[in-house]
Parts: sequence; C-alpha cells; structure tokens
Amino acid sequence: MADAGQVLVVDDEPDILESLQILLGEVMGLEVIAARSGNQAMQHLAQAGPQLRLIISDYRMPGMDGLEFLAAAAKSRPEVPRMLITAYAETQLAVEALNRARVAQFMAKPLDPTRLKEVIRQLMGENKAEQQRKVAFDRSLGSVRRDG
Amino acid sequence: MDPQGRSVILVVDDEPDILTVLRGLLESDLKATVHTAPHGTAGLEILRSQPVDLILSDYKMPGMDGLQFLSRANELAPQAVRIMITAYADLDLAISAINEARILHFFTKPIEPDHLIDVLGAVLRAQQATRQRDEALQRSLEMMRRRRK
Repeated sequence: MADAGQVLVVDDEPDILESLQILLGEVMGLEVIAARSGNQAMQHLAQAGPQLRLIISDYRMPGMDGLEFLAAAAKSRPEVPRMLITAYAETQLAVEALNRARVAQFMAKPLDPTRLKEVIRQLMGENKAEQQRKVAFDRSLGSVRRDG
Repeated sequence: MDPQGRSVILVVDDEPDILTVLRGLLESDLKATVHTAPHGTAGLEILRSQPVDLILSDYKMPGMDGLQFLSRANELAPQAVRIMITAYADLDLAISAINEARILHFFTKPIEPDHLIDVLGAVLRAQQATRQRDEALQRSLEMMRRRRK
C-alpha cells in the first residue's frame, strides 16, 4: 500500500475521520495516517517520509486549527499538496487558506466522495516538476506574510 | 521571460486607469515587461502569442469574468502563475478561484502597492530560481550525453 502513497488526514470528529480512512484507505488503496488534532498531525508530519503525498485537514479543531497546521505544513513539507475541509466555510477563511497555507483545494462539508476521489487523484498525480515549482513558490512567499 | 531576460507579466482589467497604474508600478519596481488587456478575450490572445510568467487579473469585468479567464489561462498556459484581484470577494468566488482556476494568491481591494510588489516579486524570484535550476540540470545532462558519445 505504501507504493500508492501516504495521506495524512486530520479531523477531530471521529466519524468523519473514520469515513475518510475508509474512502482513502479501503476504496482508494492509499496508506492513511490519521490524526485527531493539529498538534498530533504536526508529530506525524515530523516523522513522515517522502512517501507522504497529500495532507487533508479539517479547519475547526481544538488547539491548533487546520489553517495554522496547514500553514506550518507548507513550511516544513512544501512539496506535499494541502487541502482544507470545513463545515464553516467563509470567504476570509478561503482567502487565508490560499494566501497563508497555499492550499491546492478548499472543500466545504458535507464532502462529495466522488468529487473528493477525483481531486485526490489529480493532486497525487502531479509530476515532480510541478511539485518543485510549488516548493519554490512556498519558500519564496514564506517571507511575505500578510493576507490581503 | 522575454528575450532580454525580464519577467513577463500580463495584467487584465477593464478599468484603463488601473491598467496604467499597475503597468507603471510593475515596470518600475519589478523591472518586468508588462502586457495589458482590457478584457479576458484579449488576455487569452496575448497568452496564445507569447510566453507569460505571471497573470494578474481583476475579477469583475464585462463578458468573460476574471474567474473564467483565469480558468482558461490555466488550460492554455499552465506555467503562468495566476493571481486574482477583486473588490467583490465572496465564498463561491474564492473557492472556485482556488479549486478551478488554481490561483496562487488572492488580493482583495484596496491593495497596498508595497504588498503587491512583495508578493509578485517573491513569485518571480521563485520562477527565476526554478528556471535557472532547470537550465543547469539540462546543461549537466547534455554534458553527460556528450561524454558518453
């Protein structure tokens, strides 16, 4: 399963986390690392190897929220595409998710499994050159930190 | 990048005054070659005729809006970084701009010129670094091929 790639999934709601684990793991054949909080996800991120290919995080969680976590992930693993999912979608959050965490996708809950699978395949299929371009942008834009 | 080695920026906005101001700012502060278009259709024509490094587009324009334009630009010239400017941000627009037009940054008006230059400058520097690395890699591969012959 590791050959298909690893996905780090972060959500404080056990039911949603389990649904995503089933969809990504059993249906799509990916190796899923599950985390219940931003802090726990940071620990997984620190240990994850090159096989980590995608990060999906909920926004509203106790402690470190999904935006903070994905912004930190953009710094430590800029080559890994990031997706924010939320039941509390607002314009400002979407803008910040792009400008601060450089998310590749922003999805409002409830999630459509068909659309989610399509997007995940697209993001995980990005070639090396595209990933390297994103790393360069993340690094360069990391020094410009305002949201407007 | 143009033949003189300057980054090429395409600015699309239906307000002529804004095009003039942005052209002056980007040319002077970023030393970039700037093309302007008053609507999305003209913007696409420019993308078809020459390489562009970065596209800065307004959202609300008559005819093709900025979202439609940037989505088409993503298909036509995916290597060009896309940035949207709007005074009318709403949730659907922001989500579509991220998910469909795959923009890199979203500016809401009014924009501080210094911030605009900071962000665009960082993007262009990253593009140049990537391009230089790719060219160096290409040269190394070419040298290896020659040695093998």
